[in-house]
Amino acid sequence: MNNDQDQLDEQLLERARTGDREAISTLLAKHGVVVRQRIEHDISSRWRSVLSVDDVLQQTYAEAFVSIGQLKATTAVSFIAWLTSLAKRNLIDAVRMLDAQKRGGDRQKIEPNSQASYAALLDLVSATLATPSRVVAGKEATDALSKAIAKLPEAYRVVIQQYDLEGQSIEDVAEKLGKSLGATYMLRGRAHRMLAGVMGAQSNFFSQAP
Amino acid sequence: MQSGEGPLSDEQRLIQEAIDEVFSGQPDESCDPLTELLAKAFVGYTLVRELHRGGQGVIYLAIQHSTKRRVAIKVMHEGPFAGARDKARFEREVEILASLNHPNIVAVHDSGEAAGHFYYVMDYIPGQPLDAYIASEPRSVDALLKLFGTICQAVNAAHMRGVIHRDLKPSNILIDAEGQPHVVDFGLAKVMSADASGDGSPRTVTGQFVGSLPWASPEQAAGMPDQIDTRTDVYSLGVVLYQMLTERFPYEVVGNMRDVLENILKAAPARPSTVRRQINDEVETIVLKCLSKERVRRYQSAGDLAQDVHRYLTGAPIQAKRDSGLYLTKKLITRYRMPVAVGVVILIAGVVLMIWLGLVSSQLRISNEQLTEQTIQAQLEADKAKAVEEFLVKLFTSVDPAWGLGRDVRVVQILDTATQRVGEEFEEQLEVQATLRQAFGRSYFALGVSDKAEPQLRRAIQLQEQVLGEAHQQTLDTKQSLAVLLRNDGRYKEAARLYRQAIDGMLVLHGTDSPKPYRRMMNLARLEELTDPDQADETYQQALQGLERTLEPDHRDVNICKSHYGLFLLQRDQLDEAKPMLQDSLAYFEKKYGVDHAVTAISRYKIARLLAALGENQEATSAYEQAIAGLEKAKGVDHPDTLATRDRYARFLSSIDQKDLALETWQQIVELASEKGLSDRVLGVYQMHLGRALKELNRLDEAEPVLEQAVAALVSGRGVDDEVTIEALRQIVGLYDAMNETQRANPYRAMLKRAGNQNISGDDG
Repeated sequence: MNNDQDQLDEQLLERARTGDREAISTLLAKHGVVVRQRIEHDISSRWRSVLSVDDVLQQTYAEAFVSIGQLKATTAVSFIAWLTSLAKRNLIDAVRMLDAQKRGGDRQKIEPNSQASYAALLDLVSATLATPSRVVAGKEATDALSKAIAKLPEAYRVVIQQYDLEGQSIEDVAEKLGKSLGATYMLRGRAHRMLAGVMGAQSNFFSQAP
Repeated sequence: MQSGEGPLSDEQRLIQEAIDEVFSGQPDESCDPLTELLAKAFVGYTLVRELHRGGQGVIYLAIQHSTKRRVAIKVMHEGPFAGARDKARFEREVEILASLNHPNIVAVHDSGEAAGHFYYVMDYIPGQPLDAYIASEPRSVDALLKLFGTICQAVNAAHMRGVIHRDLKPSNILIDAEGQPHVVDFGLAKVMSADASGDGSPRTVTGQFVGSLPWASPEQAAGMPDQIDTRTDVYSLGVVLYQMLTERFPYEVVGNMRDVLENILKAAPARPSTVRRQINDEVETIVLKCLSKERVRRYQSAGDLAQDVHRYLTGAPIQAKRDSGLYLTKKLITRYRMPVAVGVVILIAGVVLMIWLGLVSSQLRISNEQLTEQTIQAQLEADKAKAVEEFLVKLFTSVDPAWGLGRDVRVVQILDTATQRVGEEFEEQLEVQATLRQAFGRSYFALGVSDKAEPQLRRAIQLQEQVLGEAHQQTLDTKQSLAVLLRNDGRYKEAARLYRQAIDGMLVLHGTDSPKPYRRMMNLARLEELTDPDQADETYQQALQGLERTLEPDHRDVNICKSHYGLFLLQRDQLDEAKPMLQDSLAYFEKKYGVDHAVTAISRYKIARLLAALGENQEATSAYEQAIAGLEKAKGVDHPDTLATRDRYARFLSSIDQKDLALETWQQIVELASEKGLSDRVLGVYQMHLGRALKELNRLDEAEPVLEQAVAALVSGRGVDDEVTIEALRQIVGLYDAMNETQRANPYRAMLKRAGNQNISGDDG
């Protein structure tokens, strides 16, 4: 890559880190295709009917918009590496869940919107928190969780509400969202991470944890 | 500028979906007090989100209540505290945009003041900036030039209204979902005025830089506002074009400002062809003319630039190179592929007739002295010739806008008019009418308008047979032209019949001692290869014998005939007969043109095929490698002929079980063919071969995307019922079956079935 391009990329990355959507879009349009090439052979043929490269990339781009603040990259090469790592993680999320589903599922039966469903979700989410914390599923925690869910983008709210809390099947949720199964699983993985982020910012929530 | 969604490519669509997913229903992070204030102040609009924050103002996406459509609202910074100059500049922008009515310039619908902020409402262009669009996927030079030509036309529309943009750069050119450009942000525009006392633009002080540095012209960089005119925009367009073609700047534009200004003022742009080798001499000339440091050497307006880009795309000589006699000659040579240059064909016809006129006139002078009856006849002929000349000159001068009336007239229209008139104008002069119809028929054919060419050629033959006779050279030439047209149209039988008539006529006209009929016979044999191979064999033999008898044994045409005939025999598995033919011709070409000449390389390729067919694999490998090396040297590594030869070599390697090497070769071929931008028709074949090779090596996951691409390209380039497409469909069905992906195989199986049915019905027909 030449100096002009390097310079432009650096400027775009600088703008991107401040949340400039146009800069992020430009970077993704420019370099996403490389990530596409890197992951397109990673999807096993057995999953291709429920998970496409586009699914992975769309989720990856969405994550890029959300996580851009954490980006340390100052060059195109490191940006591509970062984006590839997001893509691979999304892909792993989806494949793990698809595998589990194919094996018959490891999902526990829960009463829709019950305390137990919130507790299960909290367990899942707390597992992704930077500071792990065992959580008691008391009413306070449930309220805090509900508030945090309300702050999420709509698609993320839907997947958490309908899949995790109401116990609907992944197929039904996917259909409502107009996404493939793989994309829906990825969306859920990302929703959990985002939820953890939102809750992580609410230190008062954890004040109640033992 | 604006920014927004633009589902132009896979990546863009996915990015937009990602944005919708992440930000829908969420407050915009960029929401600030101004946004909140304005959200309440704009009556009739609902602000959706901020699109862009620039030096002069903020642009919001909004919904217009009355129309329910999305619009973009530009709101000036500073509000009630804006300076007088800023206000004037903002108002000027509104006025300018309102005065410009062009589909590729963003339109203003409304303007006013809200909460103390000036604003105007314009079209919302759901798209992406030019640089993001260019970066999103590779595009051919011609596609980029076409897009650039449209941008120039938009800028020219502004120039025609006396408006200089002064800030042309990729981020001020948005590309919509249909790939159409829209020039935006006239915030720095200057209005030229006949009134010398003021240019109508906000005052700029000498030495103050206005514009965006990397795209700035030398006069902007020098801080000389009085020198800013349409040519300033031409320069910026030149930088934009340079970036579009190479994704680089013409010179260093990073670093300290003094250095950058120095570069703009003095540094010679790096030749674009050194960055991207597909950029040819003409395109490079256009780019560099825009980037001349001296204004007088640039295109004088965006319109001139747009015209030259159009000339290039239509194959006409570009204005930037008109001075060069050699260049014009080159364009003449390639005229048959270039629509506009058909005017030149007509010119040549005119010149030929003028020579004829001269001859007739000289006859006239002799006759005048002798006062014979011949004198009167000669006078009549001279009058006819003069009339023809005038007719042709009238046509010609309206063909090329640059040379003639300056109108954008299509050559086909000129020919249409000419063919309508020729019957009437030369009703009595049938021979002349026939000559012209022959010329028009050939011109239509050169333009690819075969349906109009055919009746002209047929009428010409009819008239020539009537006036000149069947065995006249001119009649035979016209028949040959019609035969070529019919051959290209797939009507082989009629084409062969006409070839045969032309050859018979030539045998009568020239006798059997002339090589001319035998040359035509060779062409006929090549045609008969497709229709009647047994007859082709006989015709080849006659042609070769005739050429050997009438020419020296080492004449070029004898060896060309041997080369064609040899390949034909090889394809018929008559290897013993093929061998001496191909060896003789190779020896001749090698001696005559040298080992690296393209003709020699092609001849060696035929030998390689022969050796392969004879099972002499080592020798065949060596011959293939030499042939490929010769073609690479003579025509380039990515020339279609080189790639086709490598493809044949890969097939040979695969057949002798060197599958890994074959695979590697196909991978390189597909890469080069994609980069070269070869048509789907050809690229699809190579992809199919690559996919098949991967499949044979049981690399099914890798084969899948390649075969998917191959099928898509072949269906698009050749149609479903083409033989090669059918093979690709078989391969992909086989692949999915092997992967136990029956569901994925089914659509292709259905296509295969349909194609089979079509073929069957086609055969029946």
